[in-house]
Amino acid sequence: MPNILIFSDVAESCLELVTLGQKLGGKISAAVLGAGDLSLTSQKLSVEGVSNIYEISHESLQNLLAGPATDALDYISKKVQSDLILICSTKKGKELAGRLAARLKAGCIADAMKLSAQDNGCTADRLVWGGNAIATVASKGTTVVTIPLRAYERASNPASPQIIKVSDFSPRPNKVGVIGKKEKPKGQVSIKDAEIIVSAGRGFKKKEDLSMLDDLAKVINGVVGASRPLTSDLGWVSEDRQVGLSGTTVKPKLYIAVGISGQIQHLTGMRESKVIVAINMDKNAPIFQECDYGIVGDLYAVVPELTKDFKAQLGR
Amino acid sequence: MPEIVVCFKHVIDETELKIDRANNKINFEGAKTKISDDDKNAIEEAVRIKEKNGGSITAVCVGGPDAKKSVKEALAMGCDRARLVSDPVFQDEDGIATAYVLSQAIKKISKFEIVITSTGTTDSYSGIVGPALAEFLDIPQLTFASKVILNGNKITVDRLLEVGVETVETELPALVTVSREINQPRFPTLLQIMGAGKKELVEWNATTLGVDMAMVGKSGSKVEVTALNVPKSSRKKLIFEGNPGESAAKLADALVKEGVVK
Repeated sequence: MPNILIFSDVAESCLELVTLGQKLGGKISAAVLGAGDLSLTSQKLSVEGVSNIYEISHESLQNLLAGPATDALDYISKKVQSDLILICSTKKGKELAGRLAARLKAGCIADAMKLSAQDNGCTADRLVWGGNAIATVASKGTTVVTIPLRAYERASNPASPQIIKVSDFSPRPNKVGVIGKKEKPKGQVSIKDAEIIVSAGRGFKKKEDLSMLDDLAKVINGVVGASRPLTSDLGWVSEDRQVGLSGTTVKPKLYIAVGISGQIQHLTGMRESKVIVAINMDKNAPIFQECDYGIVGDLYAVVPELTKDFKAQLGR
Repeated sequence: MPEIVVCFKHVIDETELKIDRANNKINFEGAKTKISDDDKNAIEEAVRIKEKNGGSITAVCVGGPDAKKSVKEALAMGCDRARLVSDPVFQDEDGIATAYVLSQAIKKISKFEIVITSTGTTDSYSGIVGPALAEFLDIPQLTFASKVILNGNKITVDRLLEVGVETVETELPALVTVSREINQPRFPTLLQIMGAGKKELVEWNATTLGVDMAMVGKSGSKVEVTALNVPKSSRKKLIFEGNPGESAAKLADALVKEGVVK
């Protein structure tokens, strides 16, 4: 039975790791890191499946920068003699994983799917080559693994794991200071919790054309998302609507990808959707390998027709 | 004036891979190669830092002999010199081993103050190498940079995180991983491409670097790829082609019947 250490900079997401840890059949210890009183976070993680919670409160952990966070997980990992360290694939999680693995001289697997634990290591699948291939990887010894968000249900049965407040943590000198924070302006709707998402990609020729997607979304009560080129590169859509590895991971009932080719960064962010629809000119676009329904065609012709059809069918 | 090191990877162009779904085969034969997309942003940022602050740039690449093509491109983009770390021993090593090799190469360069990498490469998109390299070099990491400002010995970086921008600051030396959003990589001019041939390109191998053999190559790696498969999706893949109006009608019909659109 492997000793599993779990951590996420977002406590709620850490509950997804509890579910995975239980599936793997290991003894789960959770790390709670930060500054000040952390009892609220520990309380959130007090669920069935978690054996211990290690709380490290230290000034240097205020912003969960990679250096001090590595020191802290290094400390806990040695205490619990972890075989497997599971970290959520948030940005802070990912940068921590690489550094921690180097510190521990451990293996590191990023964005693991179908993770399974063996006697001395683990195996997992991960997307490579822009989503064109799946690599099965095997690790030996202690392994640091990052897990995509929302891949597992959140554990929720309250329990009372042992909470260990660490008092003898002494990190290496932290040389990085956070001197400013600017939160993203929040959009009107959150794509994260939307049941229907209609996403725009590079197939759109200009910003104004996105209005046809707004029309479609309105008819089917969906919200509009976008792939990275449209948010980060072109700035046509606000970044809080970006679906993908560097944006938001979504899991709606229906995901309609319009003019999106389906690069790995995007697929990773939406592949857990219940029904996936692709509309694209290019018959060979990777998105067509990952969809339930697809239309090969010019989105400029297809989308207005689709909106019209839904209107008629739904009587709106 | 900052001594800059930029690391990049020479990869197979993933958009040119031939995928044989019927036989579950990926055909690498004849596939084009390139500098990994986001690594170009890393090189570009190094050049911009130099343009503003002076200093010099050493490009470091761990790869096979054919990586020379990419190394020359990096030189044409504005790097001053290059180190190609090439040894058959390094083949099939994992990200942690590559980070270790890079760290040994960078330590061999007399002086380094800023090390720049991308956030991830287009082949594996693991994002392991940058942070692991910072650890091996024992320097701070400033990741997901969307803006880098240098002021003497101080470096300030805007980090593009999920919730917004976090601005961090540290003293050099430091490692920066750049977001793709940070800049638009330049295309070198013909003159620069021709000039690249005259720039210093030194090849190093495992012996010249004096690496710990237990930490490199396939045997020194903790993670190995055991199989490569074409994704088999359990999706229905019902594809409509032809008349857009008819396709749209069929799709609307199917989605309403399935009950996902109400």
